Amino acid sequence: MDELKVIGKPIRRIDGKVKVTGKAVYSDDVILPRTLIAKVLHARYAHAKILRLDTQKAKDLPGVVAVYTAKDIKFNDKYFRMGATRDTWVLAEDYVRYIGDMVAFVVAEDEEIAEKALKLIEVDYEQLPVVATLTDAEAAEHLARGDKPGNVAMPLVVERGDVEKDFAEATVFVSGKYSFPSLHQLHLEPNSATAVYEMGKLTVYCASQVWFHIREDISAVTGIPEKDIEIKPMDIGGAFGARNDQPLPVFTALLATMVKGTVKMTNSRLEEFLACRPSLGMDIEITMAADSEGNFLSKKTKLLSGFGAYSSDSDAVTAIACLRADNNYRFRSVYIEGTGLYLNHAPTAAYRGFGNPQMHFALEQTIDKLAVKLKMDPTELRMKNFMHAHETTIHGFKPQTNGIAECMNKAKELMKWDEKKKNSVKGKGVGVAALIHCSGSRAGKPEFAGSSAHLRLEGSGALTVLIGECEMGQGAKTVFAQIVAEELGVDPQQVNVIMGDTALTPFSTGTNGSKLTINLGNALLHACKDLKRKLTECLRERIGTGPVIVKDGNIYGEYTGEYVMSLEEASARACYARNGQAFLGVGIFEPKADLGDRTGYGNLAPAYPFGIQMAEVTVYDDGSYTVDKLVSVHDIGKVINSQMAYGQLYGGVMQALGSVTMENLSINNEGIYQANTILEYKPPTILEMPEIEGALVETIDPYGPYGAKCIAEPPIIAIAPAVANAIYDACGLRFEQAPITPALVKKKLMQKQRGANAEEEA
Amino acid sequence: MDKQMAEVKIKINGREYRDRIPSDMMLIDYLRKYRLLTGTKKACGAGECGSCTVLLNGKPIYSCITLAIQASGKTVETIEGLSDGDELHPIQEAYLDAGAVQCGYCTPGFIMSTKALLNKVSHPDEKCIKEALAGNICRCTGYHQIIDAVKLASEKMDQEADINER
Amino acid sequence: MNVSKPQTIDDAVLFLTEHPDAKIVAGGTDLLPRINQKLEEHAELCYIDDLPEMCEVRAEQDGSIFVGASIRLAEVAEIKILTKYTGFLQAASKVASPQIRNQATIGGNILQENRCMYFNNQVPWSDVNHCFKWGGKQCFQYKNSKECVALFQSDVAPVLISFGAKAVIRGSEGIREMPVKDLYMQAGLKNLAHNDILLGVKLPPLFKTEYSAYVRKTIRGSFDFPLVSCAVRVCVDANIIKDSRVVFGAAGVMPAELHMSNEVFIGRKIEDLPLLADELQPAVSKIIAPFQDTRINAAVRKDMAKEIFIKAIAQICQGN
Repeated sequence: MDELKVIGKPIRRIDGKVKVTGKAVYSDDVILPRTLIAKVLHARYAHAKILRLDTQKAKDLPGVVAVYTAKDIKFNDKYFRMGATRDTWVLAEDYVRYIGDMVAFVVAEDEEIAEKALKLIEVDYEQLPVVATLTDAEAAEHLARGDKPGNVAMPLVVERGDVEKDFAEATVFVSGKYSFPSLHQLHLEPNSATAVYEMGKLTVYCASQVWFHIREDISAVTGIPEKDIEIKPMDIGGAFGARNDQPLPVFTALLATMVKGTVKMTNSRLEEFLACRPSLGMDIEITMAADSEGNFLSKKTKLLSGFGAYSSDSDAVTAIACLRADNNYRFRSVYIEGTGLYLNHAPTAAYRGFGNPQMHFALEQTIDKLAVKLKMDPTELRMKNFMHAHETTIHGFKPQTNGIAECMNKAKELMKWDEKKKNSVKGKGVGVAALIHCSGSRAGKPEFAGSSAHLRLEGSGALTVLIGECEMGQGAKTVFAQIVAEELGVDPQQVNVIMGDTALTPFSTGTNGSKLTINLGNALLHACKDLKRKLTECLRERIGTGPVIVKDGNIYGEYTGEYVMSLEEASARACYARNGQAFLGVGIFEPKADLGDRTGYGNLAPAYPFGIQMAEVTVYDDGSYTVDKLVSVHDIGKVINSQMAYGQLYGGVMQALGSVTMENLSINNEGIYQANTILEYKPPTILEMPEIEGALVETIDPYGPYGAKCIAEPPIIAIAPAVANAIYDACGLRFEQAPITPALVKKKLMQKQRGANAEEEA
Repeated sequence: MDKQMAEVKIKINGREYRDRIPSDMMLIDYLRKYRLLTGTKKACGAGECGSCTVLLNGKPIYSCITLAIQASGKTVETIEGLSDGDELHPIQEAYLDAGAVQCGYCTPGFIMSTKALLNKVSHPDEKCIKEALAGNICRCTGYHQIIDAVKLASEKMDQEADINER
Repeated sequence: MNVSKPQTIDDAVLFLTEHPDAKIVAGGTDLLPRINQKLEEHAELCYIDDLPEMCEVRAEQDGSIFVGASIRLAEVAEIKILTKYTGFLQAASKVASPQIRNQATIGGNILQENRCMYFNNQVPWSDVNHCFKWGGKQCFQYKNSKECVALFQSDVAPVLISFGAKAVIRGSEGIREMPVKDLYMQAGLKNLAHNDILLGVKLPPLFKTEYSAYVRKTIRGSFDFPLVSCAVRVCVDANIIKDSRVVFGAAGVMPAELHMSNEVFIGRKIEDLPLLADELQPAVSKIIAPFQDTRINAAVRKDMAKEIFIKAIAQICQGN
């Protein structure tokens, strides 16, 4: 291979200039004439029957254009793209099932009138018992939903190998009961959308990770065919999984259709917390069986996950939580019982990591317990049990590359692991956790596996990438520009990248599962080749250049190597020779990956990223602790843009740090979120940032473009267990519940001290 | 009852504006809706995230919890005032060079806080940078490259000052 | 909502007298978030800022220092004559975030509303958990309480009380003074008439040798209100403690003073302070109200109070 010129370099992000000048246009920055403002009336209780709903007074308020309830909405029961259970509504009909549930829409001349109108809507409720915790849901004394026979939304039982036999053979057992809370993705930009209805057609300006699914949702609830709906992609202020299932743009489009005009709706921060899709809280019990040498034999897992009141992506998240983490290790057998439960809080869905952080929190601590029991170094115990490249894992993964051993060595070096283990300092501790994820997972996605990309070259020389996925800050636009720049030898800053305009780009299944670089990158590579072939053919046949190639932004003789003309000149001459027709390079990538069978077995992704994360902490006698250093080393395949790869790494690590030390939605027994402000939810500030050392291990994966895999999700996955393991190392206390708050540490330390005192006295 | 209106006279990015606005209007809404300066972002409405940071008489404040009338008679600097045509401000260049921008929603606020810091302290150390940016939340970058950007901006502004001196 | 801006202090008092529903706003960082979050609604706001009487800092004849209520928290550090009021400087520099400190006033900080997760994290469209502060009929912190027990989380107030500062108030009857400590009443109420305006605070002259410190506990390094905080001031003559005051913030509905401190400290040597402080730990635990929030419970709050008390004492000794 020729030396790469653009790939691997820290190229400036191509959508950066508009962002640093304030000129980027996010959804709420869209200002259109004759815009009406819509607001939602949310449920007063987390679970109640609607006895009476009267909107007359609101309708009579001057300036109110319309007030709608469930009965006004023709396709009220059609909002259910997500989830297997297909059981959600646009507006609540007879029951409300979480505090953000939607009861009525108001459309008005301005926001103030809309707010006033909300207060004039009269609703009488009969309060019903609230099912707020997983324990309550499992006990099933009350039902979170009266329309279901029980609280179980999804049962999943998987057994691979002979668990009972392996448990009988095992000599060492460890177990734990872990709990990981529901978290908010907390992208800073609240959801907003502006929808324009004109003569049977809809244009919707919004942010999304799934432009084409949003279009499908809108079509379902409006009855307007998808071909008459155009989704205009706005700049996106973060997503982290939260924009896979967004009611707001869909309902804005519905309202624009109903009032036949332009409607804008923007969520308040409170609505972002209460009426969106946080992650799944999980309770996980694990028992692991090993032999005395430390070889993992088997494992039994019982997992409860909180679906919320309706199902969204919660079933797919639960399945991944149940299975994915196992694939890192050489288990002979595993038994998993996963149960998704209805609760009276917001439907839950994707958050960076897609269920994997929850299970890693449990499994990687259990492995640490085993190391303690066997008196083995936890890094060695893991190294002993890791799977290798080209092996098929217990749930059917077939990674072609696996750099986890290199990651471990690098991480140990960065943490000075051996040195710190040898010379332990009182109160200080180090912890390790390993991780596996998927690059371009198609688990649970029934659509086609592949991806398509277009690359257009016009007579002006303009090069435009057309991809139906989204740029949400992760840097996809820049990665794509780099690929085109590498292939054609042009300046990446000169490549236009359009992502997600449904009128312009090929269909896409959604920006999730860390798939863009690998799937779309591959598709774009093919598109580049296709474009070059079409262009050089035209130059040879119509311009008479003889056999030529595209290189360094110019056209050269294929055999002579002589300069023929610039790419710019070539595009002009070739396009004119074709009566003005632009060149369209078309690229398709169909990964060697499958959907998984009914039990989730299968090679779900074209490639798999691996990583090792470590933490160093200090635990003080007073119960406070500090995270002093985090190390995060990832096998991400070939690095496409080193600066942006590290940006993903640092960002994911800090989000994970927040989840293990502070963040929590704190849902109380009435189904009220007690951390429903940014102040109380507590995302980390710059002052919480410890020393972070990152490193990237470049395996070259045969299925990735230039060998690239992914970096988006992995950095969030194993920091939480690494911190918990480090705290154990520091003070001998095991925290199986996240977040590990000062209150928890204090309580356990006091118990321990009391225990020690009692011993002394005895 | 009709809304009470108030006259405001605010110098924004070097230009003076006089407007008659509802007396209870927040500064962010005035900037975004009246002056169409949509670079200033609203994310919490409660002074808990820093996305709406602008400089009021040179000091960073949260425009989402400031009444527009509180800014009357004062100067306001927003992100739109930083670049000069196509020419980016050294801080903006530094944010791009250091990879300090991801989704970009918090970026205007961070850049304004950075500007206030570098106006006051030309060579801040890491502790000083962290303290100055402690009122801004970023969910994407993990802050690491933002700190790099501020250090780089400080160097770039030095170079610019050198050139101006010559 | 209408916002009026009286041009003089007389106009302001008159406006408040004529508008019994009007709420005073200055920096706005306490009130405006609650309005934006729809936790509160007001028809009238009286915006008070830039009034010369409230922007001054001056040394009085008796050696005390008047600090105008409109002085921003960030400005405190820049005022030379306040340099030796260490605890005051520390407290003002720790409030919320840099932006808030540029906006928030001294007056607003010490008159801030009490906070509680059942109120500040209420869902405004729901009537679940409607507590006293919401106009409801019960308290969710203490089921048997007859009134609101929300926490007073000002950083500055405990320090001012530790200095024995006085509040200077302009009412319809003219100007009067009262100890800052007396501003606070049960249920989070303030001991001020509707048309009273806090002009500023008066810090008494410093003792010849005097040490002060302010230590707080929070979850995050920025933005957060104190989970509990402690202001300590110790006056010393020839190494002997002559006077002391220890005041806790976020300790209950109002700052809580550890009155026993003088009994234990006075007449003793400053070097003995850490030992003497240990003696006081049980008393500290007693004056901290058992109060729950989303991250810590009552027992932990008490423990943290002891911990920061010891830290504050350590700071005092270092200053010695």
